[in-house]
Amino acid sequence: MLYTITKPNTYQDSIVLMLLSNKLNEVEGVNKAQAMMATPANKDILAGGGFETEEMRAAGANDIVIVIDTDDESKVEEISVLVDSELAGGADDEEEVEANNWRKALAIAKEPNVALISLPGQYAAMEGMNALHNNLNVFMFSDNVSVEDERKLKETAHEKGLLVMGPDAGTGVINGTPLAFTNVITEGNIGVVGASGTGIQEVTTIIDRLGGGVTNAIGTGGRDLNDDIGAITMIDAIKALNSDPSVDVITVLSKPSSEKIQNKVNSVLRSLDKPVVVLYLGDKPAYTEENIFHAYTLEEAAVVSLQKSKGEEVKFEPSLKEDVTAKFNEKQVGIRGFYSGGTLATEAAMLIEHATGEESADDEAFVYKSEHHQIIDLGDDMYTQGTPHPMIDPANRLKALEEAASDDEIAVVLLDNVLGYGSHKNMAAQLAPAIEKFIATKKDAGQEVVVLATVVGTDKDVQGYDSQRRILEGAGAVICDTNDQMVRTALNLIGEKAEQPTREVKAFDKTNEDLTVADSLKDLISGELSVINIGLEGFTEALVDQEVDYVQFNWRPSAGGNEELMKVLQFLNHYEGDI
Amino acid sequence: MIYTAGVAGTAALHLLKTERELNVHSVFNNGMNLVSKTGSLIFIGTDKNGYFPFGITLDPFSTKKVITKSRPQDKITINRQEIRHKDFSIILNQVKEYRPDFDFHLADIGLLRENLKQIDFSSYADSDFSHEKMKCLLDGLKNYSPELESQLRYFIGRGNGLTPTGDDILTGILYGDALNKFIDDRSYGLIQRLYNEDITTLVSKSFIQLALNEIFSSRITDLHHDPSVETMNRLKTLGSSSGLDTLYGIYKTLNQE
Repeated sequence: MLYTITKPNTYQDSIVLMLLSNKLNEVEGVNKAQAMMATPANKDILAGGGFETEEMRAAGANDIVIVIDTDDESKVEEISVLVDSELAGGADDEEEVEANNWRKALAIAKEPNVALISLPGQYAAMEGMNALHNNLNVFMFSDNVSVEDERKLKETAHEKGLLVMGPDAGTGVINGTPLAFTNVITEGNIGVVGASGTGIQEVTTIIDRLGGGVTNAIGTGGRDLNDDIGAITMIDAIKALNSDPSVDVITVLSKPSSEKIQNKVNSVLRSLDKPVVVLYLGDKPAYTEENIFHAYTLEEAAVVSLQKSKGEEVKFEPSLKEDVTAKFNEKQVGIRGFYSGGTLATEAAMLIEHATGEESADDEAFVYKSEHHQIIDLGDDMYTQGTPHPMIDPANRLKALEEAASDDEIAVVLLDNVLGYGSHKNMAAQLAPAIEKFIATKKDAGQEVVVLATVVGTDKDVQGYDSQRRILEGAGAVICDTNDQMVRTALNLIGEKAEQPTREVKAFDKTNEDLTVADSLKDLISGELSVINIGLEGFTEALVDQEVDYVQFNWRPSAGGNEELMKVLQFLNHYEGDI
Repeated sequence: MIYTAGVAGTAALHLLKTERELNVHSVFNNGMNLVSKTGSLIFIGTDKNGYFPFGITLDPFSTKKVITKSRPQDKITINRQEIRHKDFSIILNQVKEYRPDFDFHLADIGLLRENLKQIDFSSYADSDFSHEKMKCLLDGLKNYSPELESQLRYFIGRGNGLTPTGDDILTGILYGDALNKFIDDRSYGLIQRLYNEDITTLVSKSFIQLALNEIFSSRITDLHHDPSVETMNRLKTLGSSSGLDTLYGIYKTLNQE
């Protein structure tokens, strides 16, 4: 008796169909079977081979038809299941890269050394600790991790010779591999460690565009230099970069911290032989040192790092776009910055405050809000509750631009467009119509305005550095090469100027810190990377592109998500005493 | 999730300009097919098999994600530079256009004929596409013989896979003809008419309809720039037998008695 199974609009390679036919013929109780695309020519072949059925004749040229000759009707169901599994199985012969528990993840990963964690904060610390117990370094993208948990994680990592990058680490390059929100940077002899995500992106992309390279850019998380944490990751990372013979210059980026912590970090830096560039963004450095250059802005840190890496004389002249002009009316005196990058917003606030002397009011919705100027970080937690980060979703910035149209004080608008993995694939095209509309609305109201934009990226980023610049320029924005240049151009347009700080050269005694580094840390920054990705699957995109081994850990909360019970399980899992 | 397309064929770009809505037709290993209401096809997937006139390429990561999220019949909307599915978007703002290559006059036909002899076609000798079958078809195409329709119906859609062997051989014959014209004008008309019937897969139909306009995929047109055995071996790796089937069609066409 002949039975027919039809799989409409299904294609398989001819080899798969041939193997499928062979397999069906081996099933006990099947006299003969044939699987083919149901084109008229093939139907004739089937008919000629004794497989003529009504259903076979009814199948279309884009269907797979399987005709089975069997005396046992129950075989049809068995064959149907086999066909489904063979057709699905033939589609994927790749290595297994997904796990749903630690045991499996560790079993299928190839000598893993980093756990990339992007779980909700309340679970991230727990899994971070699990990763450390399994001798993995941790890159923690998650935020909302308590300071106590962060300290515990970092102390445990330090004791084990491992590194915890984060929490809230948005950016990292480990031995040339970008992690999370990161640009594709040429490898080179500059090592970067930073407590700020977009700060690292701005500095490393400027270095790349000027012809230099960075092999490791280690993000520590924004709180690492707080007194409660004590710069544990920062100091371990500096020592690791110091131990790497391929690093000629170490660049350190952070917001200002307490004197105690800053002295602690500086003490480590003063015991190094390698040249160092340090930027405590927000401070106006009053001095610099023979071996440690104290930078004022991100661009200066990048340019000086590159000069030092080439053994050149240190020289930085800030620039601005001089050919930009506009006729503002007497009301138009304000700068508005709608940023997606927090550190870039901080830099803008600092330069505007230093140039104008206008103090910022205390308003948590703004990075800086003075009498005339406003700088907003739309990536701040208060703007991202329930909505994606502005590097992914343009909605908040489009809204800000729309609202700005009715703000008569505006003379200049500042926008950043941060490229790289994780970011929107074409943010410029999203912003462009809003920029055009903003300029046109202002023009209709009889006002000239200037929209300045800067693109943080390299020509290797998937979005295309040049094309992003062109799209923004096409919409009427003036494109600045760096954030530093953009803010200085804005200040120039309203008749202000940010002066470079004069820095005397101070001499400090060389310190004698213990610079020994665990082999595991040396391996991390110069060995092969192998990642267990726990959380957002999108982060594996960079790993696939860079051909890095990874396992996707599809995490689900244990104990039905009951946090208290999870903590008990976590405690028992790592309990080393007697019960 | 948003994915960025790398290269798009002219025919695919044209279709995107004229259509507002497509449907997922089929999903397979290296990509998927989208189809318009009028039956025009766009392939979206890796460049593993070179560039197609109706193809849009994605990197392997994006392809894997896209095919995992797509099911036959899913609705696709086209919005200028964006192909939008309910679970993802493919943007085309950075796409490079793969233009049809009409430089057939550059071909060194003698060298091509010579190097084709180094390819092993012995498996066809006792197959449905034997020397005799091929000779009848080629003669029929050349002279527009009365038997041509039944000969074409025998070849079209014959064999398994995305593009049945008979169609791939015919693609090879049409490429051979583009290099060195021999097909009677009436024969083209007949091929065109038969391929308007649903007698083979949609993918084959798309390939042949473009081949009738001398538009071929890059793995094939590479031959008129570099007729080396290496170029032939690259074409051979296409599909499980498609590349070899195409080469067989070219070989038989250029070595007609």
